[in-house]
Amino acid sequence: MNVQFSPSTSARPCLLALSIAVTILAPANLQAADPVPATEDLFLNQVPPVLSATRLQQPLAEAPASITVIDRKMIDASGAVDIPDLFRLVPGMQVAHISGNRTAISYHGLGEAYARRMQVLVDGRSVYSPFFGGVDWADLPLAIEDIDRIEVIRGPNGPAYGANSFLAVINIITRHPAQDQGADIKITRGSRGTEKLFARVGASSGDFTYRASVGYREDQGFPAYRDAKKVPLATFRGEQRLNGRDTLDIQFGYAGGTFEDGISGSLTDPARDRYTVSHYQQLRWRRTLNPTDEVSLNYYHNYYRSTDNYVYSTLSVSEGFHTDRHNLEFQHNFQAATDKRVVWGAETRLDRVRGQTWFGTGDWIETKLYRLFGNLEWRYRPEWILNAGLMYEYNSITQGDFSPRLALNHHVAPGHTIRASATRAYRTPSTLEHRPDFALRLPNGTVLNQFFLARNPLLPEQMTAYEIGYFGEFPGAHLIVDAKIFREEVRRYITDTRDSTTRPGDPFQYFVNDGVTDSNGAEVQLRWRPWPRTQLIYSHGYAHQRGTVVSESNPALFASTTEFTPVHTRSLMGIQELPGNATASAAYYKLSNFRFGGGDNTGDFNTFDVRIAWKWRHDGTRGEIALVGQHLTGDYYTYEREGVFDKRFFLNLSLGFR
Amino acid sequence: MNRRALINWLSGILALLFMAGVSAAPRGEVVVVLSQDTDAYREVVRAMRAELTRQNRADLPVRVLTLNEFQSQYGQIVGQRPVLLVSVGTQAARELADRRPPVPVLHTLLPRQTWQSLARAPGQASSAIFLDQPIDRQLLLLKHALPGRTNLGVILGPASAGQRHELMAAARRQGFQLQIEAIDQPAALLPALNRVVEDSQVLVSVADPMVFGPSTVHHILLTTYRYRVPVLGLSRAYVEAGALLAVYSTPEHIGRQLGELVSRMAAGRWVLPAPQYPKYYDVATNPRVAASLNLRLERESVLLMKLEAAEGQR
Repeated sequence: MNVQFSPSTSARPCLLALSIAVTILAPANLQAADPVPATEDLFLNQVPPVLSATRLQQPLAEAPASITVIDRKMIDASGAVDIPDLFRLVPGMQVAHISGNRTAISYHGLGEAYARRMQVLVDGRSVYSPFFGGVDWADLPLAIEDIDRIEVIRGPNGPAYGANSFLAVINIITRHPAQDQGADIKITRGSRGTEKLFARVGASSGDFTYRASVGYREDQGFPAYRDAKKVPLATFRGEQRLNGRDTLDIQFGYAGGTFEDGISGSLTDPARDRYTVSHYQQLRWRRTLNPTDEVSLNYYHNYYRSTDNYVYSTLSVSEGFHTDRHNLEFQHNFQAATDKRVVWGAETRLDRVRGQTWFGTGDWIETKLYRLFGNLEWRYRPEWILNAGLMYEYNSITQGDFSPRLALNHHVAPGHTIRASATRAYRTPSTLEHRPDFALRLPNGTVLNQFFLARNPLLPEQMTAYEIGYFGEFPGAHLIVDAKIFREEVRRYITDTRDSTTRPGDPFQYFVNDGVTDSNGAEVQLRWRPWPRTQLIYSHGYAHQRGTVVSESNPALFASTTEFTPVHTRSLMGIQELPGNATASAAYYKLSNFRFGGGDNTGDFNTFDVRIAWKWRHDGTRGEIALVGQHLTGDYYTYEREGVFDKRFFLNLSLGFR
Repeated sequence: MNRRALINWLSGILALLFMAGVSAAPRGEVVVVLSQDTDAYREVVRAMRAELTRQNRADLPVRVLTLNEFQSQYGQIVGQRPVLLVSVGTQAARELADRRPPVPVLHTLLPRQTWQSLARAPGQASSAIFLDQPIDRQLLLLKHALPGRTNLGVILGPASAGQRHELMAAARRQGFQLQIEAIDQPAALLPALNRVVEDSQVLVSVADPMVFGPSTVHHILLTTYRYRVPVLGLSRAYVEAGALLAVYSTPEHIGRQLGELVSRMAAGRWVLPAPQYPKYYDVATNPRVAASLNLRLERESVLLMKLEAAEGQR
């Protein structure tokens, strides 16, 4: 009686292409509707657990860490054209534009052109580069339109988020295919030759739900640089429900890039184009055992290739490289007792990097990583939650380390929570830090000029972080407050230095663990809805960085870390819904001076973005026109003084067909 | 007289002839027909008997049959002129309705729309205790559990399309805005769901297999959750799976109400009561989902008390 839409009509992954073609070409009326009447089964039958404990977002009041959530509404209202723009909304976070096609993001400073001290996850897939440890945001195969929300875990958290969860963790969650059924198109045009196209189709067939997105991005970068870019991308995400308790999440994607590089007329850094290819495949299987327990297996593969050939004076140089990551992770979440939840798991990873010019060999250089982790959440009284986590990480560069984490949340009164935590974390050096051999060589291998060379084995960087936080909800005032004070102690800081005595004729840079720096500060973020149609989101980070890192080894010279971190990082975003389906939003950012390694002191600066959007809806069609103005308060730069932002305007048109 | 009725009639006569001498058939029997011989259906009978005992009518003869037994012994049963036929569940209800027995029929444990779709012969005395909750009761629960959330979303499928006007009228009466999306094929569910969550603060479940069937519940619960829209479910099972709350009746509730009705009918002249919604019900909430959506929900027992009080006032 209840037999309705037989599971055999569902697409199997191997029939993916076919099912896409069929669904796109003939989306409707494939399954004729047979009115199946309701029976008591609907009321009496068991329902497999859907929103199991692991699928539920933890209430922020119970999170054992300070977290900034950037949701879809904020993403839209911010007017951000690119993903890195969004991180300016996070207290304590800096976004430095190295050029029009490279962005470095860091938390509490300590960044450089290749900011490398954060874990960055896209749907559980770690996307920081095995080569330099940071993220290539410009050709990341991810469209900003496909992001559902971003959680920034402000502070180290290895047991929960894995290797490289050092200064902070950026956890990007993309929209589920079920959310984007139908078709979407978005066109953006604006200053600096910006052209952006985005198209997406989403459909479902039986128990298979999917979306496919394509995008194209092009702009002229900064006026002072040769940094124009053209980036096409395509991504796919599908979810196959195998039965009531098993699901398979399938993702793959591609991004290509053509980036201008070099300086016109330069003999050593000539004008040229750099080409990149980036792709990934991911398969995640989840089994819901019961409403509280789940096991999952997550496999992914990332590949990145950069091709950069040019003539240095008269010598052909190939500065390109390849990176490759295979990762397999198992996780088990379960309720150990009514007051105890446990998550534990294991991960294994193979990172490979290849680049003749960078490493002096054309072979793949492998780094293996194994990780065991566990976390206990113990609610030993209704108003007390203890989180104890431990990660053991073994990698082929620095061997084994334990990263413990302890956090205590106390609900002092309904809606008011105090949180304290202590964390120890390590960061394994990237392949580039660990064994560089970057040199200008003759075709026969003779070194003409050594730029970087490995000298001493490196130890992992070490971080010890303490935090006391407060999370308060004031429903009457429609206000949410999240505040913390923190202390972060970084030891064995890895930096590049030079010893002019070792090879006086050709002194080279090398990486060394020689730096100690402490950061103390406070952060607050407010979400306030003073009126039903008005929302204000304010963040303020105050940090005082104090320490030294070596800059020259012999004779020893040290640099202060104070300028690496801005004392104040502020943002204020306002969203106002207007009559007639219009929305106006504005975001104001104000930072005090900071300097990312290799860049200039930025001086204090502020900037202002606005967006005005008008939406309409007609039957199944919805549209939006938005005008975005960025950097409206005047010129400023975030890295080199040449990389100046001037006022930019964008117009975008979105159409959705549901 | 059609052929089937003729056969029924003949088999009844035959059965009578055989049985008359063997056992003195007790008159005034209540015959209960179960759709399936499983716990849920048995529970209705158990609760009915418990209620009859409470009402000092434990001596009322009650005969419980499975659907198969009923089908094979139909003539004999009808021949014994039971005072009342009770169906438990949709399958039994269909069987009884199709047979058109010359005996009053009380259908239980079936959705109201299913009862409405049953074949009904003119003159056939039939009534029902529905399994689904009146929309007014569901709206009252929302008023007390989630005050201020007045924009509701509903998705109707082919089986529930007929409820549109009734839903709208009830919503208007109680000060809710209702956004209704109707679908006529399974593929339309996700787009409809995405439209409806845009403007809704709560999604109200409606008993329709195309919308809330076993193959769609994960879409409903996951998609609404992603938009942070809570779901008013159909049963405790839905709440445990991820709906925020539900008002629902169990087989035990229905059995108890059945016992009351049977007892009252026995006191009179076996006159059928009017078709009715469940009198007894319970409230289920999912505190994990509530916490995750940052909603403060009162305890189930408190909500139930408030709901009962509010219903009492109406």
